[in-house]
Amino acid sequence: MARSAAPPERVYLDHNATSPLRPEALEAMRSVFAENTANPASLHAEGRAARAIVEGAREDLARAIGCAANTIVFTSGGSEAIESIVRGVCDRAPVYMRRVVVSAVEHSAVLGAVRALEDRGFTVEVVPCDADGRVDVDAFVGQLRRHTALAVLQWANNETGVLQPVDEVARACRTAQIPVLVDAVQALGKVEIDPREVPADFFAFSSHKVGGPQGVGAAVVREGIALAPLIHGGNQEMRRRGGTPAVASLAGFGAATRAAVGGLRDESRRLLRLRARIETRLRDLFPDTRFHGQTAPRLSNTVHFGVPGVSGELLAIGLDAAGVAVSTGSACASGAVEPSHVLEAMGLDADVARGGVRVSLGWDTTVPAVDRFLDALPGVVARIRESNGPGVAR
Amino acid sequence: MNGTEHRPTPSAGDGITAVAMSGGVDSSVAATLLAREGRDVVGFSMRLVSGLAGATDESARYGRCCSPEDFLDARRVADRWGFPHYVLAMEEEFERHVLRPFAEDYVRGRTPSPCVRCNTFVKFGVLFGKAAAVGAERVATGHYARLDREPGTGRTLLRRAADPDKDQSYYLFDLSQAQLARAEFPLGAMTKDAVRDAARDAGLANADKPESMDLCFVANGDDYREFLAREGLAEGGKPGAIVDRDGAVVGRHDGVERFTVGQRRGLGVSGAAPRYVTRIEPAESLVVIGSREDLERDRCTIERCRWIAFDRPPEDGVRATVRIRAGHSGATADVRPLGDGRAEVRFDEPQSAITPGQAAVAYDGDLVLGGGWIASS
Repeated sequence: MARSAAPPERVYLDHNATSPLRPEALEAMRSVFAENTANPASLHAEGRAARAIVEGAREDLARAIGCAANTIVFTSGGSEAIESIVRGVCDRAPVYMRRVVVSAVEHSAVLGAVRALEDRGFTVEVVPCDADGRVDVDAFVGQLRRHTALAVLQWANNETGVLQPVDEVARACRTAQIPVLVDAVQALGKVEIDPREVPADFFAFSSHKVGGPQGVGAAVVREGIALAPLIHGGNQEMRRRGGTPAVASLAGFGAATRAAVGGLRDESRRLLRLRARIETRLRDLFPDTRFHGQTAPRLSNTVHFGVPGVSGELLAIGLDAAGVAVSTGSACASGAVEPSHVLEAMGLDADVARGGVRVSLGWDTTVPAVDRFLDALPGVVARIRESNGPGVAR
Repeated sequence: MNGTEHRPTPSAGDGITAVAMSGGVDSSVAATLLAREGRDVVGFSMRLVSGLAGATDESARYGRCCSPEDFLDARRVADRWGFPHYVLAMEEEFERHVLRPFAEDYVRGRTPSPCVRCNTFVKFGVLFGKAAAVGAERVATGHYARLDREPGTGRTLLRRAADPDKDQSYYLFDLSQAQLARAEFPLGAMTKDAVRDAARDAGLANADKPESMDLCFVANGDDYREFLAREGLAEGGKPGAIVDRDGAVVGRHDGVERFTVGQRRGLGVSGAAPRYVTRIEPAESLVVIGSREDLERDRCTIERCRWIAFDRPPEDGVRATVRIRAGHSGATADVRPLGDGRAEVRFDEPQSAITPGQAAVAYDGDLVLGGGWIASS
């Protein structure tokens, strides 16, 4: 990798981690930063203009997901949305309601929030998934016994892209009158969100997954539910979430959501073709490639795979050195790669679980970019395979 | 100025250099020196230990070094000089190559040198393999040692560092020629003070970070015996007898792994003269104690020898200064090959507490001839 020539442009294929800021979002934010950064709670003209921007973003999200604007509570992101719903429901649950039901493949934001409840006497029932990473509806519904305070199921998995049966599960929860949170963080802008199809009590959304800025998201609380706030503060968001909103970022969130949801069908088809290109070439290059979650319904932008004998960590590092950004498992506090709890829940043994690499495409992914990734891959794999073993020969 | 300059090593050149970065001042300066020279550097921090059982607070989870905070320090250095930095999860390899053999040695009545194994199998073994994934051609570390190329043969030679107090050549004796040819020690010609000055000059935040020379995987305030017991690495000590040199039982113990040759404390025996562990017989679970004089021997056998300055020592032996542990300054001796990768070391003067399991490293002046592992007698 010579440093003398100007480095070629990098290829970014990690949209499920963060989808780069869309030009529409950047423009919306730039104009707010340039023109008006007043506090939306103020009564003066500047404040009211800021308020209008926030409410405009709320309308954008409301239209995109088919929910009423007053069910939307803006937060600092997906994790806060999830935490505030989990805490809002469970903190106020009657003492005999001490069960929470989640799937084994939930995001760490969900697992972390519900594990913290165990210290307070809650039991967390983890429903296993099949080899494809999909939860069985009957198995999940079977856990919805009495005294269940909350059920949580993700719409789409961040690692494999696998889609969960949220429609059936949400309907079953409504019937059983058990509050259900659907983590839609990875679904927004990728699949159609319709609360008539998925009648969940709560949804969680995140701006930076749809190409908006990091630092904002939303909790959606079904009408009629009074959710106790996580952040009490100054009664903002109709007393559901205190604190001055990040006006410019919300404008970006709204603009990104409009752009993502607007072109959703065509974009989905385009990404499907790009992904097929990747999966085909992977099979040609490495016939023993394992695809994770491939036979389940999936987001069209995600492919999670493993090449036998090649560690996912080294593959991601090697690709990074070759100018391609992909992901593996999840990062921990020290920045090292952890084995994926999702792959382990799918029954893959530890070694295979460490071999996974996630490629996730998005709005700015082009055919040439995908090809540059595919062209870099054989060299990186060859280098890793060559160096496998105890290291330098002794 | 002598001792303060970094002189480019013979292996410098084009290609990527991986730098093992603990976040401590030594590896940070090593990386800084290479980056400032315009070398193509990639930093790697190795997470060798995490979630230690029984750690009472977060900081103890990771042992004495290599916590997430330490890796942040390494990342800051990388960001400062604009080179990539990755954290590698290597707990499994560290347990396999270092921790298990560490425990097994103690159970066998031997006192291990885990840092030697870590260099041999982890830092210049596993890590090099992983670094090859980014095309690295060599691994640089913050070790205080010097490398040299022998003209004519192309053999890589290992020498003591310029700073005798910081010299770490002892821990590197077991590297093969292939490994030495791909190693680099930017700090070898520098004193510790010069390194700290360099850190301060470069504005590195960890310039004054305190360092410990104790076992990296044992947390501050912890003891290796408790560590072994908690981590389930030593299979519950087999109690046995403490005997004197005539075989008379003078006490009881809870497991031979709690003892090392030369140990004076924790024997549970009273008496006028100080008593020391002179021998450990793991098969009978015996700890033999004796006087200070009983500790002295004038010879030992070393096994699994690694020779660096030559392929093998001459048949009739070679004169050397031999260090029988890291803290030993060395004693003059004859070293004679016995075949089978073994050698006999005959000291001019009797040495105290020659301990099976420890590395014995032979020097000719500042040149490391090689060494081996002290055999159980």
